[in-house]
Amino acid sequence: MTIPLPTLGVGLGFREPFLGDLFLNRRQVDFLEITADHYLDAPPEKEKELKLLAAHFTLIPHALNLSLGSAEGLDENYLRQLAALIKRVNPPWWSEHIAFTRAGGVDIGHLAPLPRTHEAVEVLCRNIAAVRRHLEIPLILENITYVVEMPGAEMNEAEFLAEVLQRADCGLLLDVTNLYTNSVNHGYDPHEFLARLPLERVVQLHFVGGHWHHDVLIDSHSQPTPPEVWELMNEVVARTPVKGVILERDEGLPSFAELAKELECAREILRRHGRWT
Amino acid sequence: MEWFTHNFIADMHGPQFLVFYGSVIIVTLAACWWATRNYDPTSSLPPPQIPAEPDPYEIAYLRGEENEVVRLIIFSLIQRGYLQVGTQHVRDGTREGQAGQLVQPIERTQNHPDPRHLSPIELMVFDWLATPRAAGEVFQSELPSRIKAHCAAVEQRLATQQLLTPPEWKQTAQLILIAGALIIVGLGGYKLFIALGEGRHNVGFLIIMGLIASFILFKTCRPSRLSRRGQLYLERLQQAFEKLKSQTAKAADPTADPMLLTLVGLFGVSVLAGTAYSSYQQTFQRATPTSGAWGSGSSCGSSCGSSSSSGSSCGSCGGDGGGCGGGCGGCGGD
Repeated sequence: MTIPLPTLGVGLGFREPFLGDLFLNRRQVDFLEITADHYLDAPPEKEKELKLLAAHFTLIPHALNLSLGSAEGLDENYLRQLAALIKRVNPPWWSEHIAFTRAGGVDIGHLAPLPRTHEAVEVLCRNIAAVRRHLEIPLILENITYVVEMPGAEMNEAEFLAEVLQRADCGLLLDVTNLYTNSVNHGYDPHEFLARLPLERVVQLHFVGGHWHHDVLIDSHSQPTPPEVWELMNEVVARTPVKGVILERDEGLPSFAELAKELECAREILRRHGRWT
Repeated sequence: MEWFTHNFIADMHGPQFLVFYGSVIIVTLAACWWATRNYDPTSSLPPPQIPAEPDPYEIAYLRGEENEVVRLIIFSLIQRGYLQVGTQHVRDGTREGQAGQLVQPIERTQNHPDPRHLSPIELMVFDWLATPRAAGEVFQSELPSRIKAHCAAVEQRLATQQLLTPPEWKQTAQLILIAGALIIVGLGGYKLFIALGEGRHNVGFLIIMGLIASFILFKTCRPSRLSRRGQLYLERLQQAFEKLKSQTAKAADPTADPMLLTLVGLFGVSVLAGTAYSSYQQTFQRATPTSGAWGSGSSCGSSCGSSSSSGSSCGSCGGDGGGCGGGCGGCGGD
């Protein structure tokens, strides 16, 4: 990640119900993250929506289903469509997850964690190299949540992330909520985890709140951001010049005013550490 | 005159000519449609940015000129307690074929706020409603034309942003329309003349084809009030705020929604269906303007806003700018 990236500020993961409020509160949203999959092979209304958003905001495409961790390689058709979309939007960067969503040609419908092995790192790097043959726009990788530890791990999660980022030469989309959720569910110290990450590779952050279900914290994107996540965000921003922060709310959508409050809190953290004016 | 009555077209048999005529019509309609769309000097321009504080009056004017502004002012006055939809029915003698029908009037409220707080344009509407009036009377009266005089600055601003069809392009579009009409009517008329001259009267299909083609040509190629840029801007505004329509309808107290006025300006009174103002919506839904003051049909169907943000249009709506509240409060000033 030697390409200098612009600082975008604090933005929102775009969801359709926000559309009207988004335009009425444009000054409170510095940029938008769009779910790339919603605009692949899209109907005319989505095409119009994309044009409308692109005319008013910097857009960061966030892909869900590239399945970078699939040992069988990438779905060429999906990759072509995704590349076409990203070239059209022409963002400063785009993002995908460190996960697999497809195995044996079957779409498993969710982000599954990779075994933390050197072989998995090789698979990721090979697939990312294939992506780069289609796209020169920088790709950043996001850490996911997981409920079950994959057996056969050769390294811990932080070491695995560091290895992937270094070998693939990618930036990190650090989902601080995912980090907090994993630390709670798997009983580790998130601050120690952060200390082992190559924070200089952090480009963007995700934040939101989840809910508890039978002593398990679920990353449901359905609640206001909890204090622990704000604290982690503060720690990351203090240590590295993040380029953008995205509130990723999907469920139990509150009024836009409440979302705007959270955006302002995040902006205040950036300001406190001189990352945003 | 031999060449006039005996040539390739004149000697063509009926069915053959109809196929030929149909082909000419299709090519002419396509060419005229393409020319009117693509030669619009604004078609290559991106639409203006959607303002963070859309001005409902400017939006209403762009969407439907003075008639929409009148509707919006009346609605604003109802929202602020100056006017109401009366319960004592009055006779609406304005509507063709329905003279004497009883309708709910628009009237002043008994304890309305002090009208000195109103802007000049609002005061004009308020004064005009000194006696209860049927909504239909609004569009039959001189009120819209008086409002239009106050909206000259808005018109100018919209024209400067190239949202309205410039006069020179209107002329060009009219020439295209005339050329298309000459081809369709001229060819059909010529063949009709020849056929009748030869004593043949089986010309029904020919006449029907000519009439239908002329109608389509007029509907699709007549110059619209809004430029291509204006139409696109209007579409984008409606697209951006579409979701707010349902949110407003679902709101516990839509009367308190500051966005309601903008939504009425943007989508018309239909957004009030199912809200506390549905009686106003029904009253005006029935009272459709019959004059040509709505401008082109195409522009009325959609809606708009302004890239120049609030406050600006109030000055123009209000004429001298006095008492303009600005923004969504529109010409309020109180």
